[in-house]
Amino acid sequence: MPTAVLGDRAAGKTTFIGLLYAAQVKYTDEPSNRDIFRFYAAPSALNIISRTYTELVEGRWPDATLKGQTTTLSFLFGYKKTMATLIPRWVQKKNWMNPFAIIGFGIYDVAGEDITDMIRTPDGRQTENFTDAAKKVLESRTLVFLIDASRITTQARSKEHHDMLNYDGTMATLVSLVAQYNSKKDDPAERKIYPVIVFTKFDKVDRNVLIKMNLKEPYPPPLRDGKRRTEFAEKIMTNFFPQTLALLKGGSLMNVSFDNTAYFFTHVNTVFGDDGFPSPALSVVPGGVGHELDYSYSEFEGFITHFKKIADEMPDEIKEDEEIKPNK
Amino acid sequence: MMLDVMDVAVVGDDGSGKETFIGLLYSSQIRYSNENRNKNLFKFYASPLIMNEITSIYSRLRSGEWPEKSSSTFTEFSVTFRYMSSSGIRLSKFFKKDNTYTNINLNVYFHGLTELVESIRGMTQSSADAGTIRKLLSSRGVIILIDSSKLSAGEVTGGYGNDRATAKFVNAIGNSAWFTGNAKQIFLIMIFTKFDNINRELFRSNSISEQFPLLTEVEKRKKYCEDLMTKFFPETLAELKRWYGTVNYTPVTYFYSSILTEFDKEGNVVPALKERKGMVGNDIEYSYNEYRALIEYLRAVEN
Repeated sequence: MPTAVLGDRAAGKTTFIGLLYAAQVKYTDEPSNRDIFRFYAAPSALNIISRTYTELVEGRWPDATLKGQTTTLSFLFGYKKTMATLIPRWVQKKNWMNPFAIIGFGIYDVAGEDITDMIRTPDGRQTENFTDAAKKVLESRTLVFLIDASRITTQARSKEHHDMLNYDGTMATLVSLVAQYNSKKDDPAERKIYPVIVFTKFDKVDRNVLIKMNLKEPYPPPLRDGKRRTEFAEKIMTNFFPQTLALLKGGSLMNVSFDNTAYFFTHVNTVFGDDGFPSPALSVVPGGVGHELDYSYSEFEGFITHFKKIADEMPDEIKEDEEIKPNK
Repeated sequence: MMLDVMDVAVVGDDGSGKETFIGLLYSSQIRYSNENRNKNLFKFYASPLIMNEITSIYSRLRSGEWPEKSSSTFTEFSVTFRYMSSSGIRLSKFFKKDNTYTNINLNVYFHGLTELVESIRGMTQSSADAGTIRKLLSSRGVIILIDSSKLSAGEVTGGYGNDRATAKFVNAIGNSAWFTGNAKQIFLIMIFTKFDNINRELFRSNSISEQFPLLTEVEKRKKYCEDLMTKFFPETLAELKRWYGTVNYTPVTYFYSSILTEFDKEGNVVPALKERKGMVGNDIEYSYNEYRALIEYLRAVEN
């Protein structure tokens, strides 16, 4: 199933991919997950992702590799199908079915001007012929919006405030476009969209803003407390990204079904380096030797697990159909 | 696809505050939708091309700037509202079908009233505007924006606030309904835009309060609007009375639109940004209750 990860300039896409890679390495290595989760990236993509990962675990910020990226950086997550775990091993060996449901991720840089270019022709009409990159975004069944939480501001009339409003408008417009594009599909199963919102750099959000919102605590409730977590996220969305929140609901008027939005809050702990600038913090591996990146692993683990749920919900015929495509 | 779509046209002359009206209506849609998100009572959708325009109007307003005058491509657009009908509220999710919802298409035409009236009169099958005008005339509801800052008594001063053009427009709709034998109920809404910018001296001299009565003061509000019409729109009022018996017009419903303003550093009047109760960060302060009532009124009409 194709998934688009969308983020504004400097929303933390490169770091997000580096952290997701780090998380999936850890997740795959956990004994309980060894047989149920797989990760794959083509050599060229893996080269970029692993370089990003290396920079992070060495306590350096990665280069903004994906800034201005119009083509995609892609990789795959594979989740063992529930049914496959029930089939005897000798049947599994026959390769009659792919035991893994595959989610194909593509990373896209989206700023307001990109969306305007995507939807309108120079003479102001709505575009009918989309570029290949635009088509890939529109064909995605899961939309992951990255929101840079450090840019949340209450400073009215500031450039940052205007940029925040514009990004909200960009996300809402994209939701409208995705709804319109998918409404033309005949199969109702293909007209279901799974939205995900990831607040990146959440450690940098102004705590006073969260406190002023009358949130019981100025940090997100744990993943297991889904209801409170959604309330927490929706309070932030209502205050700062209300257009996106409204359109995620209104998109269904186009006969496209939108799943409940899943929210994640990621961050990397930082320390001040010799140059006086914050750099990624490293912590001692619990009970082990060496250091590891100090970041919000549980959020990334939740992110990976969330896609298992989506993979499980996909009808089998879609899974089979799409399993062939991403491997090319 | 969608069922029971009701078309509502919004018309307004140059300078009647259409862009600001659209920005404030959009802002209200977002607020109303997010306020009721758990109850799923109201949703809205606009196409990406329209969203691209509206979101920039909204961003400007919330940044304390007036929207730019609409581009030439932005002369017509529609927004779909979906309300859960009262029967739908009581049904469990399992039983909810398409007919538990009410859909409204709000079609906004950015045309000058005077030109529109001329176009309607001279319309032929091949007229460039024929499609738009036909759609407009077949709408169940028409919202007319009136620039309150240009309200004047006595001689018609031109521009909006123009009683004669409004009267002719009412006449054109009435004629169209009568000729086509349209027995459907047609409802008219008049919105006094820029009500914060009225000529206070004029109001005082005509013994009309500068304060629009609250929505809860039903009788007082009705009387106030009748007074406004009698003083400033006598021809329109007469035209409406003339058509009431012939065409299925519902009594006109009135709303007003105002936005709190302040002076910027250069001394220009700009939208004021204030902290809204229960919210963090600054927002425009405007007559949200009126917009909210308008959204709810459209639902009530359809039901």
